[in-house]
Order: sequence, then structure tokens, then C-alpha cells
Amino acid sequence: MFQINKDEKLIEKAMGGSQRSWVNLVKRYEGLVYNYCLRMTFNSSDAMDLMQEVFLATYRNLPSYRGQNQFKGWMMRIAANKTTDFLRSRSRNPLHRAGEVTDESYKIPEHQISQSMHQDPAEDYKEKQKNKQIKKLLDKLPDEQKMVVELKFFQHFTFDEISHQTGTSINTVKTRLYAALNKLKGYSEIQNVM
Amino acid sequence: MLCDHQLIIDHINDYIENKVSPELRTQIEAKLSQCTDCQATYRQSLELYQMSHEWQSQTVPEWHRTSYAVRPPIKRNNWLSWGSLATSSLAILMVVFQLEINSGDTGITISFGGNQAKAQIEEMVSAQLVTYKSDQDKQFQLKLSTALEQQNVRTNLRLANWLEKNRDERQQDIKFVMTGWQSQRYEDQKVVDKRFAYIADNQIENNQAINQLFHSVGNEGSSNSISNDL
Ligand SMILES: [Zn+2]
Repeated sequence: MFQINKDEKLIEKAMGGSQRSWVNLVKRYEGLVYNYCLRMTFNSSDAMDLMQEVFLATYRNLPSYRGQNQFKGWMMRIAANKTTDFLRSRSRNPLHRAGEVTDESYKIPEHQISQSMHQDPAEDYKEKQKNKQIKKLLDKLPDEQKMVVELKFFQHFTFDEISHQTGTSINTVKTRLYAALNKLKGYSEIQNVM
Repeated sequence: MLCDHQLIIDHINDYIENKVSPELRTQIEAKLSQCTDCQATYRQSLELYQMSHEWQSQTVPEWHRTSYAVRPPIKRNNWLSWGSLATSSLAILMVVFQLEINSGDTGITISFGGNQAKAQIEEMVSAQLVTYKSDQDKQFQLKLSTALEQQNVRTNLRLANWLEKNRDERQQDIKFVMTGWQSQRYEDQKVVDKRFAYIADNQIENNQAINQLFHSVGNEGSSNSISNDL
């Protein structure tokens, strides 16, 4: 409750022109949004672009924020909109081919490799491998199904909230989730065998 | 028995998280025992649920959080400062170019201090600018290498301290410390990068200022402009 009240205060000050309040508000949510973007776009430079678009749109839309301690949900609605636009325009871009996304976020940075005394890089790599696996699995889904899985399982929103955020009916949301689960069954089985 | 799978879809997350009433739990479990599709849905949901907890949260790379969020500053008394700036600039130019205003029979004649004087001034300005540029370059290099050196010394000290403290600790603890050091090293690197960018920015601004000054004193056709690439 205290945390949520803090949001409202920061928003009020940010709208009054306080840059510091805006930065504080962004810092509270950028991790959440960035990781969401990573799962939705699969690669880190796209995630960064999308995240910035989300915060820009959030900032511009602040005057239409109605309060009632719903900032996260309200912002995630903007995020869902921006993500849909982003993925749509990316799929039209001939330079982006599905399944051939870059893995640059999984490379261990040069300066870490060059350290003579270092932690077990394999350990670090294995952690990142898990994310890679998750993103690969999510990437099997059409964008709108991926969105529902993200909002349901990673963001823990209710069907009602997801319906509001994606601008679709509750039934459509449920149908998409069911279709997604069905589609993933096949891949999980393959993965488990391997 | 026909199943529309609705009950499972509706409550699957709450069921997995143990947030359903005992009555609902009984109903759900009855469905799960009867319908293989619902069982599959449950298994897949459970897998996604576990996956969501296995996600390694990534930290956001450094980015500019306010570049788009800057509201224009409130303008107050701006005409005054611009006015005084214009006046003093004009005064300087008048002196530099040895402006002469003569009123005579033909009216008012405005003339500059002759071509010879102009060439002299240009030469002087170019020489000054070249010296200034090389000074700036030297300073820039110096600042950069000092910053990097300090960073290294600090990192090494920190590492030495850590190693000292942990010599007798178990292997596992050392590994933990190394992870900390690793990320600290990464943070330090980011700080150095930021400083570098800051210094570089300053350098570019300086060069731009010089170029502007250079052009504003009317140095046509000279190739002495200072480049911004670093
Ligand atoms: Zn069923």
C-alpha cells in the first residue's frame, strides 16, 4: 500500500515538472518493463528500444492517468499497445527474420573473459542459458498468444486485467491462453526428451 | 463425459499457487482426474509457472531516462541577457575589426580596419586556435589516463582486501566474493565509460565552440577548422 501511494506521489510531482520524481518512478519500473521487453522481443537491443518507447508513451500520457493506484496496470496497458505495434512493424521489416534473432545478450563481455582471476564463466553462462531457453520457447508462439502467456504467468495479471490491457474480450484472452498452452505442449515434450 | 476445459483455464494459476477455496479445489481435482486435455493444460501451466521463476532478471543497461521528459524551462527576462550578450559581442567585433564610422558629405560611411589588418587578425586567431586545440588534446589524454589509472588502483586494492579477508574461508565463499568483485568490476567499467563519454562530450563542445568562434570572425576559405572526431 505504501509502495503504491509512493507511485501516486511521484506521478503528481512528475506532472508538476519534477524530473527527479519522473526518474524515480522510471527506476521503480524499468527492470520490470525491460525484462518484459526481453521476453517479448527476444533480443536486448530491441528490448531497449521498446522499453524506451514504453516510457516515452507513459510520460506523454501521464495527464490522462486517472490515479486510483493502478499505475502498474495502466502502464502495462501502454506497454502492450507499444509491443503490438513494435512487433508488427518488426515483422514487416525484411531485415528481421523470425528465428534468426541475435544472441548478443548472452555473450560474456570481453572484459570479463580477460580477467585472469574470474568466477566460473560456465556458471554464469548456464544462468543466461535458462533465459535463452525460456525466450526460445515463448518465441514459438504467435505474438498475441505470447503476450497473454507473459501477462498471465510472468506478470500474474487476472484475465480481467489482461482483457483490459490488450483491448480484447476475456473470452478471447482465455482462448489465446488455451491455444498457447496447447502449442507449447508439443515443444516441451521435445525439449524433455532431449 | 464432456468437458469444456473452462474450469481449469479459469483457475489454473490460482490452483497452482494454492489460492483456491477447498470446494473449488475439489472440483478442479475432479476435472483433472476425468479429462486428459485438462491434465495436459495443468502440466503445461505448471511448467510455465516454474519457468517464470527460473527467469534470471536482467539489469537494465544505462540509458537516459529524461531526454524525452525535459520540459522547456520557464523563460524569464531572457531578452535582457540576450540583449546584453548582443551588445557586448558587437562591442568586441567593433574593436576587433577596427570599425570606422565616418560621416561626411556623402552620408555615413562604415569601413573595417583594412585588409592588411584583417589578414593579421586571421593569422593570429588561427595560431591561437591551433595552440588551444593541442592543449585541449593533451589535457584530454591526461584526464583519461588518470581516470583509468585511478580506477585500476581502486579495483586492485578492493580485490586485495577481499582476498585478504577471505583467504581462510571456504571455496564457496571465495566464489561468492568473486562474483561480487566481478559485478563491481563491471560497475567500475561503466563508471569509466561514463567519464570517458563525459570528457569526450566536453571535448566536442569545446571544438564546436572554437569552430563557431572561428567562423564568426570570418575566416573564409581557411582549412583550419577543428574536427570533432576523436
Ligand atoms: Zn477438460
